[in-house]
Amino acid sequence: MWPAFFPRPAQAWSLARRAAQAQAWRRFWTRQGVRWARWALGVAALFLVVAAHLYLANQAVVLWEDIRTMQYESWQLWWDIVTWQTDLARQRNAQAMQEAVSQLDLRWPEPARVLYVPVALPSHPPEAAVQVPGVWAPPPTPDPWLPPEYTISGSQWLAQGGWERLRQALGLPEADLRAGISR
Amino acid sequence: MSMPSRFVASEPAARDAEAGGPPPTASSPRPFYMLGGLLGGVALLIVLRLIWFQIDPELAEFREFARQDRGYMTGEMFPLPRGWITDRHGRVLAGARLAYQLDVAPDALRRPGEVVAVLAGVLEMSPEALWARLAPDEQAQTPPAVMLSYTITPRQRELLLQWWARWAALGDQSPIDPNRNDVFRFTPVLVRDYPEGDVAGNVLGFVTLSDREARPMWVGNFGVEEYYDRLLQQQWVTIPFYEPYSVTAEQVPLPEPPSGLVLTVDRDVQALVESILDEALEEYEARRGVIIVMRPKTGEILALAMSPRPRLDDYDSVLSFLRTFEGQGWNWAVEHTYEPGSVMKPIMLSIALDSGAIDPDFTYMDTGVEYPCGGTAPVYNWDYGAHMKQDIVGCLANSLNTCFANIAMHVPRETVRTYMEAFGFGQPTGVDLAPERSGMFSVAACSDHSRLGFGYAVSVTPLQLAAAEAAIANGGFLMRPYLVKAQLVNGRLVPTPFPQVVRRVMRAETAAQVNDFLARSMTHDTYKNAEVEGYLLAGKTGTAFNPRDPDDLLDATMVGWGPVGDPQFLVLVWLEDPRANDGWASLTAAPTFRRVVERLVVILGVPPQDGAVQAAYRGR
Repeated sequence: MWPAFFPRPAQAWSLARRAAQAQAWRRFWTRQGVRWARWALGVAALFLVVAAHLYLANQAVVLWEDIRTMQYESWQLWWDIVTWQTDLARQRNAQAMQEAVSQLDLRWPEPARVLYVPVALPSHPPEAAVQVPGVWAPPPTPDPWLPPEYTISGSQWLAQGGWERLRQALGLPEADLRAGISR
Repeated sequence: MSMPSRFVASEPAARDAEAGGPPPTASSPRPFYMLGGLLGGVALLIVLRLIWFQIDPELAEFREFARQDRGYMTGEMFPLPRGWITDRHGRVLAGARLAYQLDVAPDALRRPGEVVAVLAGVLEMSPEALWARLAPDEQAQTPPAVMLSYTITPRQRELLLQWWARWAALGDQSPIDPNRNDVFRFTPVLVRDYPEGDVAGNVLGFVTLSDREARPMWVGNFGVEEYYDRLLQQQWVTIPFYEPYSVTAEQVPLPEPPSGLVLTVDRDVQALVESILDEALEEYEARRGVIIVMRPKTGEILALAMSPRPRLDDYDSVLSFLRTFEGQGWNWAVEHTYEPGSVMKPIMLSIALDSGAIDPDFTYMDTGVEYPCGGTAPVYNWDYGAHMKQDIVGCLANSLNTCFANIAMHVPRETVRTYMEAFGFGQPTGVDLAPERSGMFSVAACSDHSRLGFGYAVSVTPLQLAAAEAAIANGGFLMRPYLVKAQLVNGRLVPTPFPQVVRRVMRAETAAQVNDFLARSMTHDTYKNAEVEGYLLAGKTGTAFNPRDPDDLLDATMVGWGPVGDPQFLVLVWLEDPRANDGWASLTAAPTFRRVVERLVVILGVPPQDGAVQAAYRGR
């Protein structure tokens, strides 16, 4: 059973058509307004996009121009540095140093008055000299880096009293150690 | 059967049709007109702004910037300097200096005379020369630009820019076209600069501007400049025009440290040796000379001096040097060959001892003349004297030509040739200097064979001789002499593959024997001018007369090293045609050698030897 207060579909359709016809004089302007509003919205969006693009492009170009300018300045500075380094070298060249020596009244040392002090630095071991063997050779210099025990081989050490020191260190009679080793 | 909804007319259209209203139409064109007008207005503004860029006086700088870029559409080019050359301690021998290339547009000069007068004053050039280049020529077409100089200093550029601005402000009264912005064009150029003046000029060589390249490019001539030209070559860095929107900071290239060379030369030793050589030339009235200081164990060259030499910072001096010594090369240590004379005696002694042709107890009866080769080529001593019975030390101390002709004839000819080649004679040493001559020797004739014993029939360069003698000093190794300690490549130091042993020339025992003989002969009175107190030295002098020389020139040479047993230095002195003291090497080259060694041991920190060792040595 259809509710009494609720219009049937056919009736509803008829009511809607009559209402539409009643409002027809307003409908045209409403549609025009909506259409204009849509266009205005589109134009505004387009304008915003174009404006944003132009703004960003402008910023990029300005920054790029700044980069180029700074780049050119950096090259200019670098050229200046190169020039100044050469100028600095000129002010410290051999002739300038010689003049400074004269002004300070410094004299060339007499070879006989030069004192050579041998200095042993662990970080700078002496360079191994290429000795000319044969007729003349400088006296061998003691190696300051190693204690004497480490400068000979094991067999040499044993031959130079090593047996005795080993026996004493182990607290063994001489015959036992030799016998033990020889076995 | 109902149709699918997609084939049914849309609801508003159906409604319109049902209502009998107007048919649906396309959107009205009016909004398009408005949009077009809007965008057109924006475009018009942009065009107006672009036009304004072209005429706004405040934007002239940008217009000039764009004009300069026009020719190089791929990017902007910046010059890097030619690679630097330093001594072994990093002191600059050849650096760089900012200068400008100046191009002038002749057709922009309304009154060239006035401009030439100003240019002559600022550039310190002759007005006539400037006028010849800039004055309008009715016969020829005026070039768009004339390059006046590529060594304009920043100060000169500033002055010219001030003049330009002053002239431009005169308007119609200006001697130049005030509307032209290319009257003067300055291009930055990095030119070679030599802070040490003439020190090591013969080692470095010089550079000239190549006109074969689109951009100014320096090309090395002689010396290490030529030998390492590819490494040192100046670079032009192109910075491409990136898309402004996509560039990142990493893409923008910045100046990089250039390439370069670190030489083995010690600036202080080089300067010292050059000054001693200059004094020696004056004192002994010699024509020219060379001094080489090297480390015999490695072949490292500490100084390679010659005199006279050009000042590299003065191009006129370079030209004058080249004219004076035309055809004689740039660096005589590697380009001049001569017959060295008696300094070759240690070489022949080494050959004879090492090949077993003679033994260390060899003695010689000197009658004042030797007749090798069946008497066809008699050999006399330097003093035409007879020194009677002499051992090897006596032969060396008295520098007996007869004795060494006799020793040479003890050695088979092919053996002499083999040893001479092993010592490096007749071939370049391979030192990193350009160009280098190889010299030659001959054992083809019997007389050549005998004369080789005392340093004739062979031509050597001073460096070749030094390298061969170093083989005796260091125990028998021929070392390749070298001048470059390290290369600077992209800011990183790359060591060079030196020292290099070319070959073993003789046994260590032979070298020790020859050292011993030479050191003992140096205690003889003949060598008192070469002695250095506190140091045991070995060496030999040589005075070579060359009767075939059209100028009757004489060569005085002294080569020596020390301390014997652990040689730290080898010094070779060559003086050409010393007139004082009759040109004898023992009176000219030997004292020069001593002066060098006295200072050298202090600079190199070579301590004197134990006095007892020397005393014992002298007593033997």
